[in-house]
Amino acid sequence: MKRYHLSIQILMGVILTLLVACGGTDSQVVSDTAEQVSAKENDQSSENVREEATMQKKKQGTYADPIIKDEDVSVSPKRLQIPAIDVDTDIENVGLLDNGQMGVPEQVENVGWFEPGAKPGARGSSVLAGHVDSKTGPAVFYNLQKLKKGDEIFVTGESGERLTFVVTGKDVFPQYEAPVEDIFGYTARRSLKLITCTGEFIRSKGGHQDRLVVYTELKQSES
Amino acid sequence: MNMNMKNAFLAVPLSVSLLIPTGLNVVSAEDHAKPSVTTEAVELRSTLDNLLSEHAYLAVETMRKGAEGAPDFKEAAGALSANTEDLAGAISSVYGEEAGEKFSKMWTSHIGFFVDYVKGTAENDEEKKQNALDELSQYRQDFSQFLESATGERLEADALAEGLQMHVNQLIGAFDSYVVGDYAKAYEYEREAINHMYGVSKGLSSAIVNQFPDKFNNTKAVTPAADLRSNLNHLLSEHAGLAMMAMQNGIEGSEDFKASTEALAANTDDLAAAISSIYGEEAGQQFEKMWTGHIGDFVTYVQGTAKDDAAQKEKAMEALKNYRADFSQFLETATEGRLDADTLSGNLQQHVDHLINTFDSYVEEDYAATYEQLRESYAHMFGASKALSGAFVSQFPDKFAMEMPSEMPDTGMGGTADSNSDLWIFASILALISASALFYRKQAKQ
Repeated sequence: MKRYHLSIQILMGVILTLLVACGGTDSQVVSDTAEQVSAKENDQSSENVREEATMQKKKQGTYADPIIKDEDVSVSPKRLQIPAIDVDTDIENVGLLDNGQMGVPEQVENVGWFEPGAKPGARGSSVLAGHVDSKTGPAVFYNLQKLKKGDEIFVTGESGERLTFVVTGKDVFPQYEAPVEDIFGYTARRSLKLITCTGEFIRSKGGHQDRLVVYTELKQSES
Repeated sequence: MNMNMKNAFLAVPLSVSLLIPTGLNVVSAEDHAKPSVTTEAVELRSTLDNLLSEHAYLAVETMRKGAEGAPDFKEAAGALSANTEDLAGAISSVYGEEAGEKFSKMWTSHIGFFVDYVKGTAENDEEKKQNALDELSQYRQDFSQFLESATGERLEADALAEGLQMHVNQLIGAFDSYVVGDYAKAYEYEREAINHMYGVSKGLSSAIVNQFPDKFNNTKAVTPAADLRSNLNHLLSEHAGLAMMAMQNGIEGSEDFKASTEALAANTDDLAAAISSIYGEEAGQQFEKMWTGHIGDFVTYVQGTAKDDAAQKEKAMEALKNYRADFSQFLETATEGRLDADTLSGNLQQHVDHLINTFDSYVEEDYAATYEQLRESYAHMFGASKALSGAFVSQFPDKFAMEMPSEMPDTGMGGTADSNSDLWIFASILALISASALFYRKQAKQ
C-alpha cells in the first residue's frame, strides 16, 4: 500500500494559506452551502452563492483556444527519399524471419520497414533496412555510410503526408554484436534508424561482417 | 432510469461463445519468453503511471477547487503534496536520496507556481499570472536538465522541456476553461492532461530500465503486454478519479456536473473499446452496458443522499451488489476462468466501498478522510488493471508477444565486395559471358 504523508510542506503551506486567506469570505459561503447537502432544494441559492464565490467565471462561456495535446504524426511509410545520397525508393513492410532476423525487402532497390516496430514519426524506434549491394552490384543503401549529421531524410506515408527526419549520428557494429534491443527498442524520441550491411564480405561467415546504423530523429513542427 | 437499464442488461444472456475470438491458435512453441505484465520493469512503469497521472488529476482538481473557493481546497492540495512525496520516494529509490530531495524541491516549486497562477486569476492580476508562467518556464528548463543528466541523456532535455510545456499548458488550459465556464473543454483538458502523463511515464520508466538493466532483471518497460496494463491503468484509474469528482459535483449541484459525467461516459467508451479490441464488439457492448449501469447506481446513491432518502441509497447499494455479481461472472467467463468471479466480486466490493466512503466523507465534510480515501481509491484501480491485464495476456499470449528481432537484417549479397569467393567469381564470369554475348549480338546487328 501507499505511504501517506499528509503533512503539507512548509512552503506549500504558506502559499496555500495565502490563497485560502485571499478567498476567505468566498470559501466561507461555499462551505455553508456544503452543509446543506440537498442539491435540489438549494439549486437556486447555491447558484447565487456561486456567482459570488467564483472568480471571473461566466456561466457557460467558451474557451476558444484548441485543446493542446500530443498529436500523432506517425505514418505508414511508403516512400523514402534521401537527396544527399540520391535515394528515392519504395518501402516494403517486413517482419521477423524464422531465425529471428529482421526481414529484408524482396526487391534490392526497395527498403524494408520493420512493421511490428514503431511507425515513422511515432515515439520509439522505427527501423528501415536496405541492401548495400545485390549479387551483381550496388543496391539502394550502397552510399548510406556517406550520410552525415544534419542530412535530411523524407518519409512519405500512404496518404501522401511527408515527414522529415534529420541524421543525428551513425555506428558500425559487428553483425552479431549489435545492441539489437537498443536499436529496435522503445525510446521517448521519435527515432528512425536506417540499417544496411557493411564491412568485409566473407561468404563462409554469412556475408558482410558488420552492420551500419544511421540514427535520425523527426524534425519537429514543420508545416 | 438506471434501474431500467439494469434490467435491460440482465436480459442480455452472457454468451460464452461470443467472448472467445475465433481463428486464434494458441501456439505453444514460442521463440520468445511468454509476455508478462508483472516484470520488474512493468511494475516500475505502473508505479510511475499511478503517481504521475494522479499528479495531473489532483493538480487539475485542486486548481478547480481553488477557483471555486471550495472548502476542501486545502485537503485537495494536501493530497497533491502527498503525491509529490510518493513520487520523490520513487525517484529516490532509483537515483538515491539526494536526487529524490532535489526532485521534490523542484516539483513542489512548480506546483507553487500553479498556485500563483490561480491566485493571480482570483485577484484578476495579469502580471501575477504572467510571472507564474515565466517561473514555470524556468522550472521547465531546470527540471528537464535534471532529468536529462539523471537518465544519462536517455531522455533529452529539449524533448522533455517540450513535454513539460504541454503539461503546463494543459493544466492552465483546464483551469482557464473552467474559470470561463467552458466545462466541456475543462474536462476534455483534464482527460488530456491525465493522458499526457502516461506518455511521460512510458518514456521515464523505459529510460530508467535501460539505464539500470540489472536492477530490473533485464526486463523492458515497453512491451505489448506492458502497454495493455498501462492502458488499463489509465482508463480504470481515470474512471475512479472522474467518478469521485462527478459524485461531489452531483451533491453540490455544481454547474460542471453534467460535463463531469460526460467525461466519465467518454472514459467508459474508451474502456469498452479496449475490451472490444480483445474480446470483440459484442463483448465490448455488453461490458459498456454493465459498466454504465453501475455508474447509474452511483448516481442513484448521490441523489438518495441529496434527498436524504435512506431507502433510495439502500436500493442503489443493492443494485451495485447485483452489478458486482454479474460483472464478475462476465469477466470470469470472458477470461475462461483466469479471473475468479468470487475474488473479483470482493475486489469490486472494495472499489464500491472506496467510492462510497470517499463520497460519504465529503458529504460529512471530513475532507482529510475524503482525500485519503480518494488517493486509496485511485491507487486501488492499478491493482485491478494488473489482474485484468494479466488474465488477458495469459489468455492471448500471441496477441501480446513482443516482436523484437534477435539479429540484424541481412542486407547485402556481396555484389560490391572485394571477395574472392568462388561464387562471386562464378557470378562475374556469368556476367562477363552475358555481357560479351550482348556485345556480339550488338556487333552482329550492326
